[in-house]
Amino acid sequence: MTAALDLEAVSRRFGTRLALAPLNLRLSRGSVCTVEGANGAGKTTLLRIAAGLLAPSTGTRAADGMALYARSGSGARAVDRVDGSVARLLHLAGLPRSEVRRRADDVLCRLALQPLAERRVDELSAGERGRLSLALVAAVRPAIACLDEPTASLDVEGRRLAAEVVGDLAAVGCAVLVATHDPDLLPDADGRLVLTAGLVA
Amino acid sequence: MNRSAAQQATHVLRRELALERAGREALVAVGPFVLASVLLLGLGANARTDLLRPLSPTLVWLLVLSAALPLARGVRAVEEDEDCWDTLRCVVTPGALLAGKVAALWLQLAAAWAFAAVLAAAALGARWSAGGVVAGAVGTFGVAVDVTLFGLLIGSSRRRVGLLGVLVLPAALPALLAGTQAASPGVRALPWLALLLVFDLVATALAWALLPVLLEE
Repeated sequence: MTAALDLEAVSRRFGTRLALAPLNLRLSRGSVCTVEGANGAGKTTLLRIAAGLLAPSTGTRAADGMALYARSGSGARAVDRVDGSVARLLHLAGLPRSEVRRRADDVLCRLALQPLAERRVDELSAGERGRLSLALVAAVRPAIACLDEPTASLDVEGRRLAAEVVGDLAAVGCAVLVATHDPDLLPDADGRLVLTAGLVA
Repeated sequence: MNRSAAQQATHVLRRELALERAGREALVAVGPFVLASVLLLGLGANARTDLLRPLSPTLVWLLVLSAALPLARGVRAVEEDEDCWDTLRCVVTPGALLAGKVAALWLQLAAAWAFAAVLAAAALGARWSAGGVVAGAVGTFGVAVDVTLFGLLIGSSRRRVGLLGVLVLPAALPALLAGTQAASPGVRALPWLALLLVFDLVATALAWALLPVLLEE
């Protein structure tokens, strides 16, 4: 399979603190890898480097296509409408105008957000915002999806939907990197990385 | 899903305008401030339009520069507060992000300038020449670029917020100076409009050069 993401000996320091020790990570298209570890273990640092948001202190990052980083509740402005936020992101991502509406409707249905489509984002509960974040990633279908604790604010049904969305993304060829505290979230993941204080355990 | 930077910038602009339409944040921040300032100045000077009329171009530009400061938060800080900045950076190229944000601020500042100019004409007896109006359009572009730059700066480091006023206002001095001169009666506007164009170009070049540093974490 073609590599969507190739991290070679990437590490990151914040001042004198080593947040992430050098590690290698290669993700193929359609593969899912979970990143586990305690708070402060370096999961978010790794995901932000993978998404291209954070430059590594050492090592190199190669990505074949757009990477999208999302954490639970992120991605939509408070004053925007639920359906508008999805459509706007799809426009920004370059989806043809004719497909935007259909794709937005599909993901809102998939994440059980259709009844909330006309609500403002700041009227949503934390769990609903968590599902909206997943909907945004699912709509864009980036080459690399970096999901940072996507189930943090989700209930049991939301967690099931999150796991399904990860499967959907992988099925359309996205490489998915998921930081989670829940070892049972994606039992069939292709890879599992456990970090301890910035080091791969 | 490849699109040209111009198309992406247009979508960033459309997003900014749609969010402003939904939230009216810039309108609420700028409109009452400009309205109150012009009216209070008129009242404070006891409606002496003979005194206020010559000062009107300077007043309008000072109001626009002052109104620009709160708008700087919308460039990055608000996006970060609402957890949208990362998404934007992932989906949009840096150049398109800059262009879209600048274009949105330009429209807002040009609208603020026009509103202040109309109020000054109504309340202070100001008369606007064609050169003064063109200067309003050209000068607010350079101010928008400056404010976008500073918006990126304060988003990345909250400790520097206090520097904003100190840095933005001198950086926009060419707009204040040339904008005022171009609108003054009996002054040839063309050289001042040329200065504003140079100001716009220098600000744009500076923003383009600093963008990678300002976006880096």
